[in-house]
Amino acid sequence: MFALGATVALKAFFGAVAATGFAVLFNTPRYTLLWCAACGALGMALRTLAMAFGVGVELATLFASVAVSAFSFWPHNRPTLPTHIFSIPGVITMVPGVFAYQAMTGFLRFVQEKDQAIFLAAWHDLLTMLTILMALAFGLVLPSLCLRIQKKTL
Amino acid sequence: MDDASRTRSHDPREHASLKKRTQASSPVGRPTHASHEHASLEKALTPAIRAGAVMFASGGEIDKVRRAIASMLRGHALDHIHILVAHNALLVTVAHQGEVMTQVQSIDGHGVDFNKIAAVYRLAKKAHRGRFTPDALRAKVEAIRRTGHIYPRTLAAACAALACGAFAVIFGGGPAAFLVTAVAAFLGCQTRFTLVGMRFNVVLVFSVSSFVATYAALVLSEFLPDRQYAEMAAVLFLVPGVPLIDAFEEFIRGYVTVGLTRAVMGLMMILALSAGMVLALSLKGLW
Repeated sequence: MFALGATVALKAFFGAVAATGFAVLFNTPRYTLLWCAACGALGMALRTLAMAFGVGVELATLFASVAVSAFSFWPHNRPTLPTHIFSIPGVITMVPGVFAYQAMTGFLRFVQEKDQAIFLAAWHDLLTMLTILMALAFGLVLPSLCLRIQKKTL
Repeated sequence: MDDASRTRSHDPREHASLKKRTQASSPVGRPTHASHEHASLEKALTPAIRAGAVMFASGGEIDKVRRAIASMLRGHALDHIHILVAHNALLVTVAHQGEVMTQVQSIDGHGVDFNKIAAVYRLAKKAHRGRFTPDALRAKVEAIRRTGHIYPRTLAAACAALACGAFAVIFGGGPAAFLVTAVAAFLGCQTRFTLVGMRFNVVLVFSVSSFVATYAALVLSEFLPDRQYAEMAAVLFLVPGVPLIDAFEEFIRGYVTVGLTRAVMGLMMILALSAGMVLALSLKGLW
């Protein structure tokens, strides 16, 4: 249990670092950086915990992104900013960049070697990437779909 | 983005001659009702469509862009507001007392700038409450459009490098992998900013930057036991996370066309990124 706690704390810390780094790269206003770091830590901690309890990567991502999106409504109302300013840097740590890279290099390798196993592995990576991305996006939208029903203005 | 082309439902030449005729017949030379209506519609519409274009080009999701435009136009008591968002153009039609106006605003380049999104969002909220005159709103939108980066580019590259180093640790690497990844990502990120500043094509920018980052990571991690983490994490600052998340969000909200174009652009960027990595791996004899 202690080892799990240490792993979650480590990943949460580096999740916060990664979220803040991306927030600066995305030119996020200075006064929101702490909230972005909190979203990154929360997302990474919840996903690590869920995966430690045997949940698959896609469901764990969905769970974490719903939590991050719901959490981002807290800072949203005070400085009047869109929730995405906080939630996107928070979930960017969960974007499946490695799966995307493996899928693309798999297809390039298949062009060279014509091995069906490589082709299937590349498709598997691509579908995993798409499923995780769908889970991320659906998790981000779900709270706003539940809280704001078909608003026409901001 | 400056060249907003404006069209009206009537022929402009016809409108001009009509305006001339009615002004000539008017004894005091006052503007007619139709021309006054036309000018006020244009004053209302121009800042709204420009603000929407700024938001969309900065990585704003389409539903928020539409709502921001609608909020800015809300105070003008219009009969109809119709908004169409394509990947590289915005089209808004408004109607008031029989006068109809359509404006098209081209969107030249897409990027990610949350500061501009936040500024437009706040402005639209205030405009919805009727706090600005059309001229003041136009000036504020232009000020937002001209806003530069909050952070110096070297600081942004350093932060992106730290983020990539953090990814290497999250994947299971140690302190050495963190350091190597951060240095390689910094070099890649600086390359990206330099090429973007020189206005190179986005696909080329992604390929060259990922090549530089991967090659640097391969050279620096030569003697590391956990070098695979550094290789994987050094290019993650290039993964187009915002366009891909926006694309799926747009699919979910029903804006399939814009979502598809964004997703295809995102996949093109990943393909360019992979090509740069493959080139670096081939040069080192690892592919």
